[in-house]
Amino acid sequence: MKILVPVKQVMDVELNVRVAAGKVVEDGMTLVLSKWDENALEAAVQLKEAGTASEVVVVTVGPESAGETLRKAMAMGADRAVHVLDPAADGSDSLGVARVLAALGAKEKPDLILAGLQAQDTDMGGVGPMTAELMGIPCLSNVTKIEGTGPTLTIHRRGDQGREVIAVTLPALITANDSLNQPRLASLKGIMMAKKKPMDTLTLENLGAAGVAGAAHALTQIAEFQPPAARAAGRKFTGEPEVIAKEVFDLLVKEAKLVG
Amino acid sequence: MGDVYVVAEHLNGELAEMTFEMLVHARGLAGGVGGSVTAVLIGGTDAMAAKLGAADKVIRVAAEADYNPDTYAAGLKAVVDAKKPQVVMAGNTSQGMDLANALSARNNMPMAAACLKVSAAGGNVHAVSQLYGGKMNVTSNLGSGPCVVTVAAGAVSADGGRKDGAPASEDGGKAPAATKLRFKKLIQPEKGDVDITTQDVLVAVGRGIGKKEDIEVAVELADKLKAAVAASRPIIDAGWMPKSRQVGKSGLKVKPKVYLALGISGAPEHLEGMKNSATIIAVNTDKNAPIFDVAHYGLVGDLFDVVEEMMDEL
Repeated sequence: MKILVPVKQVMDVELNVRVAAGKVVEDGMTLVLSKWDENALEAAVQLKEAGTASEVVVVTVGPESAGETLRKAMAMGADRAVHVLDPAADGSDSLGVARVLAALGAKEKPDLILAGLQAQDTDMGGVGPMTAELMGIPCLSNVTKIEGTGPTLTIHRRGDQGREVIAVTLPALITANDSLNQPRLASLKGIMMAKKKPMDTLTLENLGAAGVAGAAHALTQIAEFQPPAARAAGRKFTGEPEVIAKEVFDLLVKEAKLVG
Repeated sequence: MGDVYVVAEHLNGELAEMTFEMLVHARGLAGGVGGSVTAVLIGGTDAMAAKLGAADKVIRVAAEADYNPDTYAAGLKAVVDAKKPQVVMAGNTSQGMDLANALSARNNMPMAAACLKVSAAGGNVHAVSQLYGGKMNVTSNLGSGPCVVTVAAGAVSADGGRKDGAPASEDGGKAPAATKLRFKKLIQPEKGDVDITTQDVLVAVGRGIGKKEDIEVAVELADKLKAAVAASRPIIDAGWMPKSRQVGKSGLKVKPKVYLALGISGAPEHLEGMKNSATIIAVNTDKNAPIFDVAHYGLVGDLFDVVEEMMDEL
């Protein structure tokens, strides 16, 4: 089984994300591998370690700096990387990225595509399912458990009313929930080995995907970014426990009529 | 004339809360784009249709009641291709995201996810979505043609979308059977346990509780308050409480009248699951804990001292 793992480099959203003049401030922000992608990669590497997968290929569509993310992924255990590096892809919307990945999917012919549930920056969750739709393969999102060795896998996914257990015949695309696994930290050996692993750099034209992605082809236009509406600041109490406990008690009585 | 089509969601044989919220969003938007509101009910029942009175029309698509992404997506696409609505609205839920993304990709429709607000401006559809784990909003312009949106839960009250009486019904055909996906079973949350999403009052514990035995402190307080105990992720990961009690992004989203957070620092993933609670009271020793940013009332102090004093008061 060959597994393709699409990953995205994102700003570290644990840090203070700010907006200035309707745009996200990128200066001084650290770039990291989006966390759900780490879960997807971990699942792929585990399938390889179990002997189910023969090769794990990691791919990103992104700028020069995204190459670091691919090296990290290879340090975690991916066998090789594909970097779609093309200024023409800048400013793609989810569908644009999905078109590029679908073109790569047609070339690489993976049995399984393992993606993150959503990117940590946009939280949109679009690229995975859209790629599957364009490739005409089934998609199962929000996956918490993968069983079997193929050609049919049993997938547990978090549905809206509980855990759905679904059998899927490969090729297929699944997106990883963060409870699928605990991603490993790259070992020193892994980091050393990653430097020697192959990384192909491709343009949209190389993929036969010229004119399908990038700002000019984005259907969804970003008008502006805003900080969320500030809510009135809450009241903060400090002091002796008995005093503040009394305050809470009064609040419970007044606000919620819970007691008294 | 742009019509708004709402993909009605149903769970366990009942229309989901999200469906009514979407009908509220859709009514506001339909006024802006000059069209009507249609509910698309896939695999639903007559009883469900009879509760869609807030829509002008319902299109019924026959399908298995058990949700199957392939089947439902194909059923929806057939309706959209035949009727060409301007806006297709789904929930930002597991189902809704599957269906919306597939439709957007298949039909080249611009899309915005997790929308708090969808409106018409100068003939275009504009959507305000949350991103960066709720740290930022973005306004997208989806243009004047057909588009897809998914709406975030809890942005509007569902009450305005609840209206009994079936609207005019139209046959939307039968969804094709799925060939590559086979639904095997549904594993529901542990029976007998409390459903934290339906409680009026939640006492939630986080890492600050320190050790497993001390959760008892929260349980006692919750008993007095006729509340249920919930927890943040570290407590669940430690195996101290069942997964069914987890609040947050990878747990459940809750909206109680009162959310009492004890020793929860307020990681973005946790805040996402509880920030829509009507009243949030937080107790934490760290005066800079992010939980205080969303708390209506913040108490800087040791949770055990505070709980002990509260028990005395009670």
